[in-house]
Amino acid sequence: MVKMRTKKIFIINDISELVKINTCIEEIFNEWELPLKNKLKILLAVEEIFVNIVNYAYDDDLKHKIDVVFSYKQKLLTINISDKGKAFDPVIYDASWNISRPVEEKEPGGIGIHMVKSVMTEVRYIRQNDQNIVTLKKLL
Amino acid sequence: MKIQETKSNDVYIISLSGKIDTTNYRSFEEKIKKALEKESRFLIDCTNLEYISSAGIRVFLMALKAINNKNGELKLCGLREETKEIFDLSGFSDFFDTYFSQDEALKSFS
Repeated sequence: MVKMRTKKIFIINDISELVKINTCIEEIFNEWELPLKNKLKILLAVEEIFVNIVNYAYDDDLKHKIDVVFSYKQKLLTINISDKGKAFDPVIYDASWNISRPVEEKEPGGIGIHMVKSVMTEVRYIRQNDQNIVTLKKLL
Repeated sequence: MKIQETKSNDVYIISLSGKIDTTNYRSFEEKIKKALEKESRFLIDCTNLEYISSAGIRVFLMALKAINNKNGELKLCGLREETKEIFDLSGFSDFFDTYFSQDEALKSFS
C-alpha cells in the first residue's frame, strides 16, 4: 500500500509568516523527493491564498491562526489551508472580468486568485464550523 | 531579491534577481516610482528573476500604466520559462514588448 505523507504547520495572519510557509514547501519537496517541475506553482498558489487571508479575512488587528496541512500520495499533493475569518470562496470568485481587460482598465484585484485556479489541478472550498477551508490539489 | 539599476543612453535598466513576492515587492515598487519621476524609457531585465507572485505582477501593471501615461516605453527581456508562464496566467504577456536579451531589447528602442 502507498503511504500517505503529511506535514502540518501553524502560522498567524502576518505577511512575514510567508517565509515559514515557503521554507516548509522547500522542505517537503526535498524530504519527500517530489519532482521540482511544479514547485514554483505550489509556492505561488499557497502564497496567493495566504495573502488573501491576511489582507481580507479579518477586520481587527489581532493575531489569528491559520492551519496549513500538506499531504502527498500517488503523485497528488494536497494542501488544506484553514482560517476562521470572513467567509470567502475563491472557487466561485470570478476574476475573468479583469484578466481580459485592456491594460489601462486593468485593476490589481483578483489576479492572484485567478492564478491559483490556473496553476492547480483542482481548487475546492468549504465553510465548516465557522472556518474557511481551501483545498489545493496538484498532480506532480 | 536584488535590484540593480543602470542606464544605457537614455534607457533606464532595472535588473531583477531572485524572488519577488508579497514580503518584498514594495522595494521594487519604490525603485520604479522614484525612477518614474525622471525617466520615461525603461527596460526591466528578468534574466535572473526566479519567481514572481501577483504582488510583483501588480508592480509591473502600475509601471506600465504610469509609463504609458507619460508616453514612455517599457520593455522586458530575459523572462525565464517559469516566470513567463506566470505573466501569461495573469493575462499580461500581450501588453509587454518582450525580448530575449538585453542587447536585443536595447536595439529595439526607437
